[in-house]
Amino acid sequence: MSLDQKQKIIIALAFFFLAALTIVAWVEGGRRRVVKAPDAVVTSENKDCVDCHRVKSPGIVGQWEISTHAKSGIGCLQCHQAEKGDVDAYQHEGRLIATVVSPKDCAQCHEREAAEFQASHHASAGQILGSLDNVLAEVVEGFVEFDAQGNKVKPSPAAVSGCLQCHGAEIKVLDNGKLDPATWPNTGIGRLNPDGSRGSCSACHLRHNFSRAQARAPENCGRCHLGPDHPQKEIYQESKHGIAFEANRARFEPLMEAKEWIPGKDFEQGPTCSVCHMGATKNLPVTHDVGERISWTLRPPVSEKIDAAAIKAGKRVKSWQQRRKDMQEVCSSCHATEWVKNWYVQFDNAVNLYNEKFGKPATELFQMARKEGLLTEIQFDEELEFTYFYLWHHEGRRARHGAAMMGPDYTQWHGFYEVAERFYMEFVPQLREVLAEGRRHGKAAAAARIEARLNQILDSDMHKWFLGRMSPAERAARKKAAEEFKKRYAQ
Amino acid sequence: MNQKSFNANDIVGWVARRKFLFGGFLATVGAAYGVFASYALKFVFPAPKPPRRIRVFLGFSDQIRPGASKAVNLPTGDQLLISNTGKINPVTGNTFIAFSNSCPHLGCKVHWEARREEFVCPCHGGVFTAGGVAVAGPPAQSGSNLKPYEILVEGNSIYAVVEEV
Amino acid sequence: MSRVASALVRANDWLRERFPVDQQVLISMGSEPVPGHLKRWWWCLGGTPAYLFIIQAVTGVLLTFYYVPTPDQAYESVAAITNQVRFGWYIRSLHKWSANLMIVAVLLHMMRVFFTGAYRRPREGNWMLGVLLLLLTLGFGFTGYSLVYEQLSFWGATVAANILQSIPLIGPDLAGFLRGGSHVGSNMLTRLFVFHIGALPTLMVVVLLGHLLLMRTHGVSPLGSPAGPDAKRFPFIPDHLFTEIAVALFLMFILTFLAIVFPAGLGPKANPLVTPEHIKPEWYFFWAFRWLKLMPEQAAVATQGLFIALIFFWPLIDARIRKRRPDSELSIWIGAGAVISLLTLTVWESLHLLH
Repeated sequence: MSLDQKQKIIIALAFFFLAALTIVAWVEGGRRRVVKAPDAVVTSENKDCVDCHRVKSPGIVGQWEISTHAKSGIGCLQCHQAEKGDVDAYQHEGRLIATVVSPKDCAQCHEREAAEFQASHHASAGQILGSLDNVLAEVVEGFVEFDAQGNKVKPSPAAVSGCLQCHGAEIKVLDNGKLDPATWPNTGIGRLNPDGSRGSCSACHLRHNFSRAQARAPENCGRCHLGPDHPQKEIYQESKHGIAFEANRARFEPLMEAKEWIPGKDFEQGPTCSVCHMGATKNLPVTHDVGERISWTLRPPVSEKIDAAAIKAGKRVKSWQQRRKDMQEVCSSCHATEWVKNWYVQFDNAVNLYNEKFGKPATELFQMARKEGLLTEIQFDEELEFTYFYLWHHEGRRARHGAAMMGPDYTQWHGFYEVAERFYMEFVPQLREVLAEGRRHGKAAAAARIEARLNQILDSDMHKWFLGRMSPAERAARKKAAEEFKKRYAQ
Repeated sequence: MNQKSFNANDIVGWVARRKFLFGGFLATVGAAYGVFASYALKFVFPAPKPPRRIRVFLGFSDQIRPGASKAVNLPTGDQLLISNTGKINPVTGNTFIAFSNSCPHLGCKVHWEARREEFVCPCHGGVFTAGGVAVAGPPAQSGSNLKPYEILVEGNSIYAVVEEV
Repeated sequence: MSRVASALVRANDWLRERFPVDQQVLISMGSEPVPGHLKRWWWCLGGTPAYLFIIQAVTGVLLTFYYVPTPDQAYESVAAITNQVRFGWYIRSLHKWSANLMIVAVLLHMMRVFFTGAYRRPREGNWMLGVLLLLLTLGFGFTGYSLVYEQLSFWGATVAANILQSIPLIGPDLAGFLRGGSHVGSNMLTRLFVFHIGALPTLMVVVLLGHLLLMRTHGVSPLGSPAGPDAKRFPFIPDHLFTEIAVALFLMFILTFLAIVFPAGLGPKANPLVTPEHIKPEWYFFWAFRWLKLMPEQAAVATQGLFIALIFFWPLIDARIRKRRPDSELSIWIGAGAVISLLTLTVWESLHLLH
């Protein structure tokens, strides 16, 4: 091979090498270089805390380091520093701090959210001392010791570890400055804090990273809003909203940490709890008052509009119509006007059905029995009391919540079906037994009055089928439909 | 070829005769290795990063009383001194001033003297006005002032705007 | 003369005045005729590993700008090079592929020398230097890979130390020397780093210079019967030099291609508490790995040591053989047998790992 040939080969090879280098440059240019996330900023005052707790409780420091707070240097003392005179303040490694961080502390920077939250029903969740549920937890299930002055000495563990973990305990500071274990730890949303504020922000915004994505996840609300007496989480998961979210969850989750999560703009389907009940839309600002878009209260034995109690007390609050309008504004991000309007008609009809057919009659009869002395004064010592409780507190709520959040199975089988069964198969017979018992103990007149009212109710249009008084027209129509149906199946 | 050895002139002559080809040879081989060398250089020199501005929380406005000051570490490694002069600055609308507390002379930490409304360096007597301008001592002689920081007050919180390194 | 030519001549005169080396001696040394068979590209296998060593040195120095040899930062610094530094992935991939190709080239060169009998008298010394170079190259591969501090790096180094440990008499001391102590820890990583960028390169350069010097003074061994004075030859400069430049460019192209299509990746970080399910060394140790599984450890280590000694002293053994039977082709058969056995062990091990 001659020199000239060799040179030409070399030139060719050099071109190949150059071409390969060009591809290298193209690959390099197209690479998304990994951008280092900004570090947590540890300011001088927090340095000691972080250094020690990094060893003693590394999870806490690790949580904080990935938070948005840390990027701006907002650290331990900004939230935990206490003032002289705070009832729960104590000296710790040369600094005056408090363990409990209340909405008042968060309000130092998050004033609006804290104010909205403390005005909401969430913040008053801890004030359930007089409720029937509390009676159950403290008397029926548990045991509470009182001292001579009537102060609670020993709480009911059923309440401490159960009810109050969601509803919020009243945190007590003992004489030695430590927190009463009956009341702390507790992140119930209606917690009563030593500084007088109500509520706990960390009920929803888990410390110390306070992630928005975590707060927006349905499981977050589902910590408390689940179970036989208010299965919102389960209903949501059954609903198409929940299905849509779950199907797209992997795509959404990295985006949900962003400040805005506006339906129609940042995502196109699958709202979570916070989207409808609190979140910002195109036109509405975010609110931490979860009642702002609720029109019915589905909690009590008989549902009423959410502003009814306030109106009765003479207070001026946002009307239920305005709240409904706001909620409809959210719906309109994804749904057409007719859809939304018609759905609310369906919802109202379902609530009214419960109210009229079961809620009001059962409540009326039960209260008559109580007033007339046919039931003992002791709560929950008789079967009828449990039955009535189940009727409105469990399946009655399930039916209403199911209708409210588009969970058909909860509306029907966990809802109205069980309400009806409870009413006809348990409440009515047990009431009759109570009346019979009353007659045996000299309360015949009262029993007669109540029985008359019972019969009147059963004889009404909605209930008369039970007495065999269905109209002949309806009976014929049903028979015909049943025969048609039988043709479809072998049995 | 059957030559036993070369001398310098032979090589030069050979090159001269084929200068076009040899030129091409040098050019392509040189270009190829040259490009490679440029990549190696880029490798060694860190990529220039566009500076980002971040907010660093300094404190609550009701915790830094008029006349008081507070030193805060910044992620850049510098330490910042924020002082409440008590007088509203017409430009910024708040009463806070923030400067690096490193004296530009030899790096000692300056402190805020509320009564004199001046920053004072204890090492060699450098004095700076509330605007960070050196008026006495070695910094004044060299005309070097304190490095200012932009302050942001949002509600109750005070932030410094810092360029992240 | 053309302008280019006269410029070259002037430059030459300028240099000659300041560096009064006898240029004629240099040029005659450099342009000593090369036997005709070297025109064949198969004979460039000696220059190939030498060039790849230069690539390794250059890319290696570049990598050292960013690599940190401590257990808590080694892996992260390699990840940073791969993901963040400009062209980091390219320099690192070049280094990795050049390492693999260098070992292949050394082995091919070794086989070429062996099967052409070029190790025979008077070149026995050069063969031994060559074996040393092979061992150094494998040492580079082992230490370099351990520096990445992936799971396989860490556990591979642990296993190697344990194997050393089992060598009779000197084993524990050797293992202690490798580990920098009685157990695998941060000392070992530092040592491997020192070996890889300090001790081994120095040794390599020295032995390589010796190898090249011996090769030049002996002259390239003739193919077949000794060459006569008018056997075909061609000048080193520029002919053979151009061949070498062509090989160099070809290698750069191949390495760049491999770097683009098969860039160096990163396995899970070393975890001293968890041994991965399948430990395996780099491919060039597969033969040893498989051999170790076939018999008790001490026997395997002993036989492997014997094998290396055999290779090292082969010219002397071969001389003995040919003294008895001058036309014996036994060495070819033994060489072929060794190559096939090593290949079999390697393939066996790699197939096993596929499952």
